[in-house]
Amino acid sequence: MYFQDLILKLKEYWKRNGCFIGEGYDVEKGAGTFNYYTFFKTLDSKPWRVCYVEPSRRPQDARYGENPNRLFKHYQLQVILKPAPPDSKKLYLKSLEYIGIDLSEHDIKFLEDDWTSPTLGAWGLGWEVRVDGLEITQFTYFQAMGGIELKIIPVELTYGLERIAMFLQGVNNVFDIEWSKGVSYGDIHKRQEFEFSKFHFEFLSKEKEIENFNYFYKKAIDLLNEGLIFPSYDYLLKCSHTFNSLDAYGALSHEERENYVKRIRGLAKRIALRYLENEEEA
Amino acid sequence: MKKKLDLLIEIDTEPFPARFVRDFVKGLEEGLKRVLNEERIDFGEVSSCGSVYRVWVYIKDVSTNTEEKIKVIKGPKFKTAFLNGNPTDALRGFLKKYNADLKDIDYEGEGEEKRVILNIKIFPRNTEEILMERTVEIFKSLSFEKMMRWPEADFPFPRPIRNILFMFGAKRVKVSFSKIESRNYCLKNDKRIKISSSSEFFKIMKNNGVILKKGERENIFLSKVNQVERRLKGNIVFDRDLLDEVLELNENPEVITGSFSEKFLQLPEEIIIEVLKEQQKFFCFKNMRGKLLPYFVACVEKGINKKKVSKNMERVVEARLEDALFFFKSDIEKNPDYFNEKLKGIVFQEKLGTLFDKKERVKKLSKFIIENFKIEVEREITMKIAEYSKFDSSTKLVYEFPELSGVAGRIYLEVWGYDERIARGVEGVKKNPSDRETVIVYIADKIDTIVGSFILGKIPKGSFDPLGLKKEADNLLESCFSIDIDLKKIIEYSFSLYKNSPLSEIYNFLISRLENILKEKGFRFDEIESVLNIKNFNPFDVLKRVEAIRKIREEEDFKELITGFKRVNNILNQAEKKGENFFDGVKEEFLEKPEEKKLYDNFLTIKDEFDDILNNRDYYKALKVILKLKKDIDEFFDKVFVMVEDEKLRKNRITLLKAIRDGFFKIADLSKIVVEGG
Repeated sequence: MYFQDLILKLKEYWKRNGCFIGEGYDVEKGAGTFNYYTFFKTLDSKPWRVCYVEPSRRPQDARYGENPNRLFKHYQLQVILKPAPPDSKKLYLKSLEYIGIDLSEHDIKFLEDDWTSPTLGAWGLGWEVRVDGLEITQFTYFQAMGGIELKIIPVELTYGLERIAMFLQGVNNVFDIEWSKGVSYGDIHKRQEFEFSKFHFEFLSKEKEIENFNYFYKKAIDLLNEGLIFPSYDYLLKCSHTFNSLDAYGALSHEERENYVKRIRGLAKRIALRYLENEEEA
Repeated sequence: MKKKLDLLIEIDTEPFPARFVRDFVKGLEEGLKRVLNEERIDFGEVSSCGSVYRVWVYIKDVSTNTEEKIKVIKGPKFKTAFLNGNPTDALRGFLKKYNADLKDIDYEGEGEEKRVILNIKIFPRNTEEILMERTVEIFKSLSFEKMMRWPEADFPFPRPIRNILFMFGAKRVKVSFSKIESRNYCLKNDKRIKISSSSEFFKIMKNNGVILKKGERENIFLSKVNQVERRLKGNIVFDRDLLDEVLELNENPEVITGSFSEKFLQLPEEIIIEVLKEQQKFFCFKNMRGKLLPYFVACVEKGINKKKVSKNMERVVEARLEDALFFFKSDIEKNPDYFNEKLKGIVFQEKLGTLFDKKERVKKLSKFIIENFKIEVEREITMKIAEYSKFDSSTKLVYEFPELSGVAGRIYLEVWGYDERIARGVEGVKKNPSDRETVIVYIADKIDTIVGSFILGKIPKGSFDPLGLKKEADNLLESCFSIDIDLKKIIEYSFSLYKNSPLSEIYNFLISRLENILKEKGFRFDEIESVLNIKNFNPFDVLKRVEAIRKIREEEDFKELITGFKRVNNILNQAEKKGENFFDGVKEEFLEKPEEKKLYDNFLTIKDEFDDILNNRDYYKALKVILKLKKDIDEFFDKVFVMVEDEKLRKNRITLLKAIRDGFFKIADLSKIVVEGG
């Protein structure tokens, strides 16, 4: 199965199960959880089902395109089911069957793995799902988002698309994945991986990025004070990515690091509260 | 004749954290027994077990009902129950409460103690009804370290409960909570397995491929492992914890073997074993002579495609070991001091500083223990063990595989060619220390942890022990049986090492007051600082010293004194930054140049006089005595180059200068003094 078919199949499966098919959000971020469709839509008290692919950038994992398993940018397929249905696990397993994994043949394990995002003030309990020892999905019942205990508990499924594709195609190197007929993952991404690794580890302008962070942070607060929640959230995303970049560059001491995390988390909470206020009024 | 039936409860949850399964089984079993005992329901043999998918308790021969019994209820004393032979309000209230009549009452006791009692008949109750009433309370009383909510949940639990099988004989006991109702079936891979009667449970489940008892699963697994061992001529690396975990993850165990590339055998064996265990839950394999072979053994559910799964697992193992090898290789290019520096970025505990801070405290405590109790150890080895006791926490390998902490430290130090005793000691501090050098650092480390936790108020009480301090304390005390030390002194000293301990706070508070008083007495800020920087807290002495500084400051000599001190101090600071060591005392045989010999000779000449004067606390005079060395110091610096290549000469010169500075330090830290115009 080509990489693109894997994505189409999963989207089709979740569409059939009542999901809104969304798109990735075009501000750099470390994980699909930061997308509007997850952060905001899990906060309020309305039911919600969504599926989308999120390009996720993690400077920390950049390896100049030399590591067969680690990437600066990878693709997550994210599903939110809110409220989490009692048969969440079954629905998930059926999605694996849908992409051609014969459950009776393989060793499927749900290993305890609880999830926290210190910057989003979010946490949840769940598992990493493994097929024949390979971690392919993070399965989480969210408990809090933006520092707020959730009224309706959703389930978040985060599929590691590259891992699944490698498994299905039987390849040992992520760059060997066939994206479509005649086009490999490496054709599209290998050079990018190299250049972005170089940028993040060798050409980041530390002082400028710190300045940027402070500007983004202030702007987020100013915008929020004007009641502009979504633009403010964009600036939170920029803060988060800038922080990740600085962190990967090794520019932050421990105290500084904690301080940045605390600031972003505080911001996330203010945005979340403001969003809920508006929702309740509406 | 009472009727007896077998009681069976089985709970299907979404995959439970393996580490909680045993507690869940135990809690459920004890909860049921508690209810039966409290209700005085007879029961027979109890068995129970679990996996990550289900937990069950089976109780044989449970009475179907309670017996009729008489319960005695004590009422008011006779003298308050009756007034002039008539019932009082107290008695009427009592009777009303139990819906009784005057004619029902009885008495017990004599004289003053005589009181009214009621003998109430308790009618037999149905066991089933009691269970329907009280089962939910058992679930609610179970508590785990981490619990969650889910949409249907009435109360938090580690993972969602999806089904309950609850049978008394062949009949279903109705219980409902969290939007589920008890059923007469249980689940396997979301399919229902109907249980016709509790006594059929084991048979039906076995037919459906679920081995309910863990002991049985263990026998099956180990006998299959045995076949593999014979075929591959070796043994798995046995690990009880890992075995327990895989037996909770698999209800019908099957064995899978796989191999990995030989190139990974260049990694130390312990690293391979740990990586496969922690990351994959796989066992490693050794040949008959105990050498690791490039095989692994995994436990999976019976019925899967062994060939395919093994091939996929091999791919994952290769990737994991590739990572480990990468981390290992990049770590060993560095050195322990590099990693020690990085400890500044790792928190020991919030508000208790970083691991670097902890390491520094452990060093001070270790030194304190050796010096105070005159313990015969190799001091240098002990101090090195303390110095390197934490470094591996900042290595990439331990970051990825935290379980390797200690082991990795030892392996790296061995690779880098450190004294074997230091390497073993660094591992021993994390596990079980053997030699005295390690024991001292171990004790220092544990005391530091315990004292720090108490400062934070995280004090163990009953079953509340979030930091596992009881275990730490037990280990500490056990290791103290082999060494003659008074913990009281060490604990007090340990307290003083924490910046945020109450002791330090009191101390800092008093010092700040003293500073204030001295300022009001007209001393200058830098003068005060120079004398308070000296580690003792004797206000009488502080005052004497600051007066001496003040007095000499007004003299011509003062500038001389400061420049002399600064020359000595600067070079020592440089040396300390470079991590230079000192001799215990100056070694005359290494004094080479006439200028350093002269400085040393004159230093010895004034030393006795200086010490005498100090004892009389005549600090002004003492400073004057040191001043006599000024000329020698200048000549020394003009003619002698301190930081020479030759290590012995260098070390000796530094030691000489340190001896002189220590003299100054008995009075004040003159580097704090601000000199106008230069």
